[in-house]
Formats: sequence, C-alpha cells, structure tokens
Amino acid sequence: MSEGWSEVELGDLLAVLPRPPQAWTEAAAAIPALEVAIEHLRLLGAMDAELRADEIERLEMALRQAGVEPTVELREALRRHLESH
Amino acid sequence: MLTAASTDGQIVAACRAGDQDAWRALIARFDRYILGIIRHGYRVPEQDAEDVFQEIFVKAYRRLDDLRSDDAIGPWLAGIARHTCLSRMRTRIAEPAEHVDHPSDADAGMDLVERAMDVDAALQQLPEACREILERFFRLEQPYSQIAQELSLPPGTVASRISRCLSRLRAELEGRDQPVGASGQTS
Repeated sequence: MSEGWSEVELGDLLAVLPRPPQAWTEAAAAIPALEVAIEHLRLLGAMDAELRADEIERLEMALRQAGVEPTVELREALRRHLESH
Repeated sequence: MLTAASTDGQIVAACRAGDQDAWRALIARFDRYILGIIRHGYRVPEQDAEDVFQEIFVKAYRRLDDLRSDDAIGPWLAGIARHTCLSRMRTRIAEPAEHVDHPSDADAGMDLVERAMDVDAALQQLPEACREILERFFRLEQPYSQIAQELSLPPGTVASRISRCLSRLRAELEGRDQPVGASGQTS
C-alpha cells in the first residue's frame, strides 16, 4: 500500500503537515494550568456565595434579637439605606 | 521519564497523572495531525483555525478520563477534531465559503492527512540531518541558499541531499508493512 511513492508526492505530503505556530502550541500547553486556575476561581466564587449567605443570616438573626422580623420589604429598605451611605 | 520513543499510551497515562511535561509531549506529537485535520480535512477558515485548534485540546484535556484505550489517543483526538470542526462549520453555514459541503470532501481530506501522517512517521525514523533538511525545504519552504547558509553546506549540495533524503524516506515507507497510528508510534 505504500509502494510507488514519487518524490513529488512525498514532498507534497510532507508539506501537508507543517508545525503549527509556536504561540498556538504554547497556549495549548498552558491548558492544564488554566484549568486549575478556573477551578480555583469557581471554588472562590462558591465560597464567596457561602460567606454572603452566612452574613445575611447573621444580620437577620440580629434583627430578630432586636425584635424586628426581617421581611423582604425591610431587607430591601435596609439595603437601599446601606447603599446610600 | 518520557522520551521520543515513549508510546502514545505511556504519554496519555502520564498526562492523566498530572504530568505537565507529558501534556506538552502529547501536543508535540499530535499538533501537526490536528492542524492537518483542521486545514485539509475540513478546510476550516483560517481565521477560525487557531480557536478550533485550542478548543480541540481543551476538550481532549477535560475528557481524557473518558478515553478507553490510551493507545487509541490518535483516533480519539481525530474524533474530537471532527466534531469540533463540524460544529464550527455549522456556525458559519450562512456564509458562502470555502468550507466543506459534502462528507466525501472531508473523507478525501482526511485520507490526505492520514497519508501525510504515515509519511511523517517514516520521516521521524530518518537521521536528524535528513529530517532537518526535508523539514526546512518542504515545510518551512526555505530556499536552497538559506538552507545552505544555515546548515553550512556547499550551495550545490542542497538539492542532491534533499533528493537522497527523499529516497531514504521512500525506502523507509516501502519497508513498512502497514500504516502506523496517527502519531507514528506503535503501542
């Protein structure tokens, strides 16, 4: 099946597969490191969401201890108040 | 420790173990093949070629655990490349272009790439001096004068050396009973 290769054919076939630009292969080589960085950011995002939920819960607890029910309306009003200061 | 003689399976196993040098070795072994599929198999427009190239390797990295046989990495990568190229072409379907319209076109292109990979595998078995001069002339399209200067050869000998190296390449190909895998490495 590999019989009868002419020099012209061999030359043409060699030319079919040039090395990709170095920048392409370097970017591809960095994929594992980028995947680690993306996973790290995803974990930080999840931790951040968890921290915010804890903080809201703590603030609502403080309101309840002060005898105030943290309704949606009250939370919105407090948020606006805090954002304006 | 991976070497040029490491099998595809050894490289894949090391990649899976988190060896970043193995990942580099994997890219070095298959980068020409993937680019060949992109350019000749599916004729992806040049402006999309780099994105598609990166997308293929990102998918491969993320799905490496899905590969059933480590030594089948070549055909497995080709499958990812095929799907990625077709997906990219679908997004460009509205544009009249040079993209492949019929599967038979892609088949012909893939056949060309596979034949080129067989030639490349044979090339890797030649002495370094032959590999370099053929690489420079056919792939980097360097003129005789540049090759002569950079390899410190008398200008009149470049053509004859290329011809001799092509003969060795042909002999190497004709000595093979059957085509090797996409990377040229056997298991």
